[in-house]
Amino acid sequence: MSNRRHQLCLLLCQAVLVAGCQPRTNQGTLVVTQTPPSPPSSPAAGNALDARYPLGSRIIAVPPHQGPDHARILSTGLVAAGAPRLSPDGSQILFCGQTDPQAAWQIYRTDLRGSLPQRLTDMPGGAMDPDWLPGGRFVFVSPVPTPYQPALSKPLPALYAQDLEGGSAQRLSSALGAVSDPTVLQDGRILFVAELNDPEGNHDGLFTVNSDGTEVTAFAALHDAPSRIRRPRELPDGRVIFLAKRLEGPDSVDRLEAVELRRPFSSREPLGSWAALSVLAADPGLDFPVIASCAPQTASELNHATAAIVARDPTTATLEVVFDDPAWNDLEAVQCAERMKPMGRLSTIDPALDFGRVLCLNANLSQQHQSSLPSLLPAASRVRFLALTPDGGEQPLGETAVHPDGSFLVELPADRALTLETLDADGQVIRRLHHGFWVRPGENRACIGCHEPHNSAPGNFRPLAAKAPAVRLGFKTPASAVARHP
Amino acid sequence: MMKRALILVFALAGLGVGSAVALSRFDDTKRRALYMWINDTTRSLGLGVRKRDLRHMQQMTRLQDVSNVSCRDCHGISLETLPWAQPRTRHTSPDALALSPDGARLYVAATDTDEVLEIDTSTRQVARRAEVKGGPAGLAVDPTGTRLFVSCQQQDSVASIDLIPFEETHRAFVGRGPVGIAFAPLPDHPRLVVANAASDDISVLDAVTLEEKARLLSGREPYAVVCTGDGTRAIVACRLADIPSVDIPPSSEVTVVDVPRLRIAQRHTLESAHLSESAAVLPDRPWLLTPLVRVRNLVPITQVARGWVMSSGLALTPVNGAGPVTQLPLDEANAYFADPSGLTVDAQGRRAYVTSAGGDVVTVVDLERLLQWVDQAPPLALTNAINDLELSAHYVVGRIPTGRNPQQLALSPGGETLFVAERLDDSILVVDTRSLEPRDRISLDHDGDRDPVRRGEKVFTTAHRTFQGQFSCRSCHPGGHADGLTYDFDGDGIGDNMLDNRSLRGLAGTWPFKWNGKNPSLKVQCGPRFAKVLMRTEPFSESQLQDLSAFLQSMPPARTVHASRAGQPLTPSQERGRAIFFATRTPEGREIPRERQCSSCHMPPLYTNRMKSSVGTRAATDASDEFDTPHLLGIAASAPYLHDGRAKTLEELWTLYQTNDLHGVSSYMNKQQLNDLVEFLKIL
Repeated sequence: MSNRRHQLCLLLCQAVLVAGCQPRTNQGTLVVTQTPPSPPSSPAAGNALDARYPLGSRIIAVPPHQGPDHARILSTGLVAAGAPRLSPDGSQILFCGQTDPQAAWQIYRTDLRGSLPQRLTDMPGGAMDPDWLPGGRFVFVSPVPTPYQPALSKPLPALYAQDLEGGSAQRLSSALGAVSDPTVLQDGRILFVAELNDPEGNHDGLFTVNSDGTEVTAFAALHDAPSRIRRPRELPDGRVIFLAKRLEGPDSVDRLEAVELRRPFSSREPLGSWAALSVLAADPGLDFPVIASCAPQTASELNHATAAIVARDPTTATLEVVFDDPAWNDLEAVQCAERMKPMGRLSTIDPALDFGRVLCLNANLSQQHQSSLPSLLPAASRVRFLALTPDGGEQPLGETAVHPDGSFLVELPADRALTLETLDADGQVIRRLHHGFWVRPGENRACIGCHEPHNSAPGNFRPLAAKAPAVRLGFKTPASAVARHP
Repeated sequence: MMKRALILVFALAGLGVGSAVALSRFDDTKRRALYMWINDTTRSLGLGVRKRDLRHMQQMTRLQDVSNVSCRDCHGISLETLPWAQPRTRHTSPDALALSPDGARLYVAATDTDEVLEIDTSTRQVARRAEVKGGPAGLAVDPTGTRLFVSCQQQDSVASIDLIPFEETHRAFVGRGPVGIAFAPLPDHPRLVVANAASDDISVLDAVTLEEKARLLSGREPYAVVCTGDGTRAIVACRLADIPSVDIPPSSEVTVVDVPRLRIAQRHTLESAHLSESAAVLPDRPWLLTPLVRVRNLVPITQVARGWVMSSGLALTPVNGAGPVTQLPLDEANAYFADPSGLTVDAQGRRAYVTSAGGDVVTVVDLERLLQWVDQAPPLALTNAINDLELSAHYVVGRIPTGRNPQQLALSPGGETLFVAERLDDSILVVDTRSLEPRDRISLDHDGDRDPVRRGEKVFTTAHRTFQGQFSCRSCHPGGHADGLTYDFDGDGIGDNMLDNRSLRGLAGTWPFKWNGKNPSLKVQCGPRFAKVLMRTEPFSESQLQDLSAFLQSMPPARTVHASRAGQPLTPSQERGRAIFFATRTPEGREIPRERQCSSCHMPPLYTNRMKSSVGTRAATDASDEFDTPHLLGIAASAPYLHDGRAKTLEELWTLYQTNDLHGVSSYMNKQQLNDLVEFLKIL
């Protein structure tokens, strides 16, 4: 008996030793989305993902420094798949996939061993762009947008979060235009792209929001070179890269650009030279800061016509092919690397409440007021709040007086698309917030001023509004009469 | 059944009486302990409580149902048993650094172990150790390199060490809690300038005899001193802000001393800034540099992002008093470097190095770029500079990662080597300033992490647990104390329940915590709710909470009596004040109702009954008129007072904010009686 126990102990020790000595097999592994160069005949692309990941698209895992012969298919059982995101420990991926051409795209999870993917979402309009949140949750976008379809005929894509182990999805965003490409930053916030329609035209901007949907905040690329923006990704060196297609000028191709986290509003610039390659996607790499999927603009660039995964050596500025499967378009790649887990956050939402509070420190403060030039605008005496309805209309919620120091404090319906206008003494609109905002139930939201200077901390003063009770604004008609965003 | 119960009662009563008789010769403490044991035991057996005791408990607690009240809640504490009164593990932590003029030797003050260490900078080994009692906290080497002057924080003195035998030769008393010390090389009369942090004054000493030549009033908690090259000016950076009205921004002081004339030359104020723990004069430029924490305590804490609560920066102050003070940020738009502590500038004035004690980095500032920006910036931009979180990118040229809790710095005479005191790792990091890369690490102690108190201090001082590293526990509780500011937390609404920040010193045994007395333990106080309201991240883990709790309970109350008076009998004024504090009748013989006697709520030995009381201080925005009764140990050092910090001094509690004698009966007191009471409170 004793001998058996001894043997068992020995076996266990060996097992532990073997497990402990095994290298991290996933380190450096590439997870690649491949699309067929000539997609099989299929129904016309119905939505954005159908176009991006045509039938036959798949996700593979390739061990470090190996070629396509060593690839393992991860999207087994799906007719199309794409947008893989690695878990912080590098052992699993989230991605979007489709079980048959008519089915809606949903979010799946699998490990890198090639286990059968597990479906996580069941969103009526489909789901896309997943990423891992701390605390066993993930964020994604739903519904999948449909090109060429009038925007108002379908709900706009919004951010959702859901537990990995099931449960219903909670909507995080309630305003701005269509949102896309959420990516979780190291500090735990979700960085995402939002479509804006403001005096600068219809363009995209980068915003952040907490993992519970609170504190939606402008992050970068709002007032510099209106662009269509895709795939923001945080690099370990303190930069955020993204693909931008300028809306002005002749340059209409996607360019890889970057902003520094330390000054995101004043550091936007192109990221290196990618020769004559067209960058389709870019992500942080392991041996190189960035690995990108590049398509040759002429067939001679990569010796064939399909896209490949390429890295740019920052010291020599030379391009190096990291992975290339000539039989497929290597559309995007993520690489396993030891990454810090993003910081978690306890939600500040109080689900028992149906309102959130907004404290503005000075409605008259704007970027212009930071300059030495006198402002041409009159001081605001009132602020009007409006709810944006799904049909594109507006419904007034009421007005509140602005205190002499420019501050105001209001309670507003939670989880609604909201906007505001500052009014002069005659009731004329001085300024209007063009892209909307929202508050979550029980959220206490504050801003320095309307059109506040970005990345500015507040001054240290006690706003008069904080000394008076909050003004409750809401729907004059019962709330249920106004359609909520689905 | 009935019979058994009767037997039990009689047995217990007999045991109690027998024991009481047996212990009748014992002191009050033991008799009280036995009495409480009997009382608690009979109650736990469901046998009730004597009517007299019940009345006493109801009267004292103002509760009808006292089933959850134990005798020990009020009587079961003795100071000797509290964690902060117990012996604890000591660590050779580097608290101050000073280099010999030739850079060959580095001196290290280790407050915790009462030592000064000498390190050979070529071998990077500890060469000699000298015992310097009383918590060595600051160092200054004379220009000849033969004497080292040490400020001793716990013994309110300055020691002089002869560096040849490496022995203490002289010692002299200064003000309370001296920390910063600097040598002023006046040609005929070299002086020492000492910042007495606990008594808010500055001592100027004769550097030869250590005779105190002058004691000058400074701002609140003077902490660091630096002298100009000719020794004519000493600049003192203060850690705490003066206490303003609740709606007025606080401001701390940079005090400039005219050393030859022994008087104050200028007082500069740093608006909405405090916690300056070092200072440097820029060579050949009329500027003084101090690190600071820019605080935004008047703004409701609806978020912590974007420096909403506080941020780190530098103050650029004119040495000669001409021109405004400019505050510049050290933080970035999405990353913060909390608790700027040590600062040093190279001999050419090209670079400044600033430690972030909470962020574990040294920030490298290009001073030429910084001054260039200041020269070109319009006045409004200079005023708003500290709030512009993208500005530091203009002049911050490096961030050097360090071990835990980097504080003081020393730069070799040529500027090529930077020594960083990694206080909570008990080590000194050696950095090559050309590459900004670490070159070596000098270890002073080992196994610090085996000590839960040390681990808890690491939790207390780290900013890595706060969203984007914005601040640490220490940012509001420097030295475990309080920053003296009032905050508006949004957990209970915006603008409601303004709260004075309370000291954490001497809090062992004073549960419950918070002004509303809702938190029964430190684990609850510092747990998930704290993470939700303040850190805005994940809560501390269970083990971190345990360590943090051990550290918090290890901190003794602030010392408020000068070391030279320790153990002395009370002065007549303090004696009279003591009598007033414990009075049950007014001098005219009128009875003071029990619940309004000072000692009923502020019951020794902790001077709290750990209950909530209504003392007529409810403000319009307060949710309740009842507040936790604070302990009074070290109360003289924890101004302002009352739950919202409205009383700047102890006197104001009764001269301005007394309502209908609800906060003790004071209407009979004349000025002298009130002074006597305050004098007594100041020694608790």
